[in-house]
Amino acid sequence: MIMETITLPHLHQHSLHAILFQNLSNASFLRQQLLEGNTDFEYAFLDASVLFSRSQVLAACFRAINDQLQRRMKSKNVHSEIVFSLSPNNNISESFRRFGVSETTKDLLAIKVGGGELGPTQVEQHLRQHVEGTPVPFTDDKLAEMRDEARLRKVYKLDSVDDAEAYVLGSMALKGS
Amino acid sequence: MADLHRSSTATPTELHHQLPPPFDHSQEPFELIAQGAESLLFRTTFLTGSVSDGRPAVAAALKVRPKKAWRHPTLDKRLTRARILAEARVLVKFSGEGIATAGSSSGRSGKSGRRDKVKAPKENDGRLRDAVPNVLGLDWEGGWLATEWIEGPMVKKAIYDYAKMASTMSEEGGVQNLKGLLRRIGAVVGRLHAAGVVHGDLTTSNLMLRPHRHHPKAVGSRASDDDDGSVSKVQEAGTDNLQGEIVLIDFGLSSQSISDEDRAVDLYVLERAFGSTHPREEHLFPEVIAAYQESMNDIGPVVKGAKLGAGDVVVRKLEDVRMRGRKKSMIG
Ligand SMILES: Nc1ncnc2c1ncn2[C@@H]1O[C@H](COP(=O)(O)OP(=O)(O)OP(=O)(O)O)[C@@H](O)[C@H]1O
Ligand SMILES: [Mg+2]
Repeated sequence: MIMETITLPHLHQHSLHAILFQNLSNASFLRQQLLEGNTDFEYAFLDASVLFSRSQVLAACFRAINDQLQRRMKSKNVHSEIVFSLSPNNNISESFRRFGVSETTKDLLAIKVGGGELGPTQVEQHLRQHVEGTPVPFTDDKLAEMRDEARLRKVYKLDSVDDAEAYVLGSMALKGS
Repeated sequence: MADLHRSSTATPTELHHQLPPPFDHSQEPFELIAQGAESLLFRTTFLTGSVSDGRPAVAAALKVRPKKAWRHPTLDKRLTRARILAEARVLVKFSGEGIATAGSSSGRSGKSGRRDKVKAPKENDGRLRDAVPNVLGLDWEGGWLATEWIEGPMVKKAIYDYAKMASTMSEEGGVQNLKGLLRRIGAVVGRLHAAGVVHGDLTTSNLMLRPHRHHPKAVGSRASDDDDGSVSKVQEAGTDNLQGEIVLIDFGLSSQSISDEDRAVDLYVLERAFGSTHPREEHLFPEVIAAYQESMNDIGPVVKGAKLGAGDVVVRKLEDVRMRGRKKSMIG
């Protein structure tokens, strides 16, 4: 199976379905579906150029799901909340611009919070049918190839991206405090 | 704070009533490591390696601050939030040392405004980055903070183990190792102060000794020694082993301060705690002070026009603080 289903510790009822796509060719179509609020597209579509690592993504998912469970999401739904959770600041629309799919997105991480009516097979089918790109393993090595260090430095206010993961996770965790 | 150390593995069900959501519905193992006056500390898994996932577990320290029924709810909430955030902010600040763009203040939203007039340390070489656990997640309303698990014993335990061994062997090499450990403690506290933070609760239970074995890339410490991915590993502390890197933990009472008085009090608290926890080793405590003084003189803010270094000033202040301490205990 191309799609990975991840169980976050402590959130076993909220498994995550994830596919990392390389060389995306229909970014504007996907963006359009989100803008129109097409309910068939309930995903967090993340621009891989601003992703550091799996831990960073999983930390964002944990916070988004926890905030959903505690009824204090700042955005519409758990998927937009994952995008927002990646941001170190409280500006929601900026977080969508920075971390969400945009016209220029080259590589895309698609995440769906499971546990709904759709099983993994259907989720995978739907994604592979509508996302035009090459699925590759969702690993730290792949993410490292895809990232844009200048953008990462800007977004997380870093002088260097080396060894910065801990600071990035910490900044995400403190957001809104 | 109070360290009533009990180590016991408890199933989630026994602890459900103590755990905030989402941990109250968790299927992961929780090992109760310590129970303080204000908080419970568990070893568990975070972000990766759920029991129902094949991946190796990333061990984490989960500090939970349960609601205090006897405290006014509003006050209780405020205190919990303040403690969690005080601790997390310091840890995150240091994890960004030498990496974060100067002037960017993580987690301090504009509205809290009150910028601290903390002078930057002379060198920002990132060495405190490895001297504190990384933050993995938190919830100031739920009252929990998850940090990287630090492998290795508390300094308190390392010194106890040393003392046991020393009483049977009485060898000179051991004393040198202990002195080395004490110097490393002094040096790291100096770094901490030079970076504009006082700890607020320095004891040998709030210092860990991490064996030298570096994983610069990993965020959480991998529970690598467990092939089955379980986190209920018994920690072994080499009896003759005082080597390793000092890691500072328990920043719930820390504050941003560059006052010499606060720094001296921080040292005094450690001195008193050390003396009562390790009376047999108390005579070696000056090693801590000496290394502190050196490290602060070396990296601390330059005291303009003064002949004394930043460390000298604090150590002088420490004399006053001791004197006051003595007077107090004579009267009280
Ligand atoms: N990150 C960690 N890795 C490994 N062990 C830890 C970690 N954090 C804490 N511990 C262990 O748990 C004990 C208690 O933790 P800590 O000192 O943070 O809490 P506390 O003293 O109960 O808290 P407080 O004084 O803030 O109420 C420590 O003395 C140490 O043995
Ligand atoms: Mg403690």
